[in-house]
Amino acid sequence: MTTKRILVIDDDDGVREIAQFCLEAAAGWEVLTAASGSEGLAKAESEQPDAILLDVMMPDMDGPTTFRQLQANAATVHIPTILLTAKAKISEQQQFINLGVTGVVTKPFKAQELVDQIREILNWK
Amino acid sequence: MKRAIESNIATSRWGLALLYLLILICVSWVSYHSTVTLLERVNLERHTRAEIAGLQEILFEITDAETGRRGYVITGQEQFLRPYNRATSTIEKQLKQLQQRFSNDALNEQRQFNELKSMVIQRLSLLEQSINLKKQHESDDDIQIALNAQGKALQEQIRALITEIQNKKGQELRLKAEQSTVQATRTIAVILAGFCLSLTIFLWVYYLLSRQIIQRQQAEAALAKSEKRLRTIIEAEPECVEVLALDGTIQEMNAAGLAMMEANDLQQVIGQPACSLVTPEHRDSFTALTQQAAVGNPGILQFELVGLRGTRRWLETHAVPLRNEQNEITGVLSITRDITAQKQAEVVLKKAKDELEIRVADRTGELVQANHQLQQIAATLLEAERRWRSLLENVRLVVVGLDRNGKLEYVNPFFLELVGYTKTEVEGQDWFKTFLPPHQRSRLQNSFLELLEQEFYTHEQSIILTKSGSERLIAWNNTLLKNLQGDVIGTLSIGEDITERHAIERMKDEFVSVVSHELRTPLTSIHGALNLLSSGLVEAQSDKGRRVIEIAAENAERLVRLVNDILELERLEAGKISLSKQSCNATELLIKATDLMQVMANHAGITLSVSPQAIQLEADPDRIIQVLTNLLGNAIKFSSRGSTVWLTVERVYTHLSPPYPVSHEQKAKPLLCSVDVACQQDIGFTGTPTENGKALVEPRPRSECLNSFVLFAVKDQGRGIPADKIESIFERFHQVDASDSRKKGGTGLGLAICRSIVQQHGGRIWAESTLGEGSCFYFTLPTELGIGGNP
Repeated sequence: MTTKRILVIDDDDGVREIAQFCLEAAAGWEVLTAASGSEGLAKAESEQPDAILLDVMMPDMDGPTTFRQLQANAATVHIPTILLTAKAKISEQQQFINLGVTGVVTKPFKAQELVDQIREILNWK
Repeated sequence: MKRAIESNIATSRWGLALLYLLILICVSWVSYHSTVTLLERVNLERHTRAEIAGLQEILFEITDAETGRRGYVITGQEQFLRPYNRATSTIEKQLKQLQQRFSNDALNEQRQFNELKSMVIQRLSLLEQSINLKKQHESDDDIQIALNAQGKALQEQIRALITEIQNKKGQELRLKAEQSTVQATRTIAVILAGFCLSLTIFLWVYYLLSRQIIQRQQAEAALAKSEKRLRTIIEAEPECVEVLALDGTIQEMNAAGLAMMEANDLQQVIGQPACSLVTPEHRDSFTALTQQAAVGNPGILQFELVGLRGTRRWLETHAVPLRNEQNEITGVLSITRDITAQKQAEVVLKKAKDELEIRVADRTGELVQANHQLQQIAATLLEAERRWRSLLENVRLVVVGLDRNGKLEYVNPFFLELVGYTKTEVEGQDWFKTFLPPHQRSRLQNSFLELLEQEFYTHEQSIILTKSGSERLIAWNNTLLKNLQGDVIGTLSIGEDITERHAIERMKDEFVSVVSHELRTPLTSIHGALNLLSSGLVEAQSDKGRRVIEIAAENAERLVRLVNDILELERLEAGKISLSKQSCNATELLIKATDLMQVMANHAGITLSVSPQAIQLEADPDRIIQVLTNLLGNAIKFSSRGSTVWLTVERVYTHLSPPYPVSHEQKAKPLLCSVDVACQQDIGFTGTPTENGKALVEPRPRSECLNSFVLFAVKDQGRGIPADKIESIFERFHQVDASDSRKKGGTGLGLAICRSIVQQHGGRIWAESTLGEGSCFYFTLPTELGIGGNP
């Protein structure tokens, strides 16, 4: 089975690194990282990951904007995207679902739980 | 009525009879008169005819006498004298008779007769002379001849005269005959007319009499019927109807009366004194009533009666005199009704009335009290109205009254102040077209109509447009206006201008969201790191493990700083941190701050240039040093190695108090972080305006300035701040670059804390910057010197 490749886009170095460690350690996936929305767009297009874990609140280009651009790009439109948000309210999460994202996971997270959630969302066995 | 009819009939009858008699008398008199006249005329005719016949006879006799004389004379025989003798004697008689007849005639006729008579006598004399001559035998022919001739002539005269008289009489006779005929005809006509008239009157009288008889019969029948009906009514009358004799005894009584008396039949009471059953206390009054009625004075009396079976009743009787056709009082008619129930009701009523009067008295007292209370309420209402009006005029809420068509009827002064119109400009204007943005008109007009039709109160928010075109968000509370009849005449809406509050709430929401993110972000790193370690997914001793621990430690430290800054900022803005103000020297503050930051500057290769001035100010030195170190820290962080950061202080002047006027719109906004040209002039600065209308400040004391401030400035040669962020950097978590807070170790709250500290000192903070050239942060603090003071 081919190792899954997942792109983590988050402006916060700590969160990005911890997420990377979690996904690598708990799932054995290959993790790519980007520190901003624009960097993430470029990597998604060039690296063609199997999925994208996208932070919502970023300074230059926030998560929803980045997602819209991913969807607007034929090279990245097919990549399932999961939003990573600190907003725990169901109503807020619903707004993101309405954008068309594949799923939403919340901060803070535990390594195994994060992996399990992503697998469930993406239907990865 | 009957008497009247009879009277009319009698009058007509006598009148007609009298008329009939009068006509008969007239007819009889006319008949009698005509008959008498006719008789007179017959007698006259007979008289005339007798005269004519007498004259004719005299003529015949004279002729006979002549004939006899002639025979005698001729013959001499005596026998011829017999006609003569008879004639003379007859003529003499005739003359006497005619004399008598003509005596009643007219004088000319009498004169003619007398002439005739003398001529006849003369003739007879001549005849006698001739005869005598014969007898004397003196037969003288000549004489005879002369006598004959004379006699003949006379004879002719007599004949002529008689003929004349006869003709006259004949004419008279014919005239009288004609008159008699006319008279007779007239008499017949009168008699016929009288007969016809009499017959007509007779028939008329007969008709009248017949009619009168029929009318009388009808009247008598009607009278009988009326009497029967009256008796039936009286018998059926629920009230007692009785007839008393003049002495007060009962003569007649109907069934109701018998029932009142408790009598079985009329015989039981007939002839009894009417007062016998009246209770003793009312008997005298009753007797007096009947006696008064008996002399023609009607009256009413209420009395009590004890029936034959002992039942007591209250009765009311109305006694009137009863008269016959001659208007003589023949008795007393008494109509009596049972008023026992009425009396009992009166007793109850009186009792109720007494109770009512008591209640009325009580109620009146209550009403007086209520009236007093009402007056107090009216006074209270008046005062309340005054207060409400005062409230409407002064309240800092928008009050708008619309009529049913949505036209403005009332606005309060605050509304006018808010929208910038005058009262004259808005009165009668269409609310929706004038004050609402187009995209809201339809919805709010529908809401207005629903309010009018369904009469429920609504709460809503809407934007209104001011005269300048700006928008204000108003939270409305709509109510209906009704007139005294309860009809809806419009709406009254009270609105609160929540533009600023709404902005603040939005900012708060954003702040909470940001804080949540800012807190969760390090927490996520810590939580994830510890989970990796605790779950054994990452070995703590491995390189990855050490990196994980490092991340956790960094973020824990960051979290602590963040929490501290948040708490400090909140305490500052809530006024929970009291400034310990004291007199301090600006130079000392600058030096202390520089000392604190010198290590960091050295580490970053930055030169700190300080230009102190000995200016005294009233401030919390620790807090001002906190501001200065924060600004210096930012300058050092964002300056490249080898560059310089300048720290200066100087005194500035302004006549403004507070230093910078705060407009209505500015209240809800963050304080401006730059000085515009107008403000520069106000605070006594002169400077060259930059492209964006700001100016670099240069102090220039002016004698007219009243207040002085200390102006601190921290200037760097860093990357600069974009113009669109020059104001927002003082907001919480509004760094130019959010990643700065992580990269540079900040929390995103430093400038917000600086602003809060400066504002609490009565100062102001702002920034000037040019991208790629550097930034300069200024803040002012009031000095110790008061108005008009000198350095």
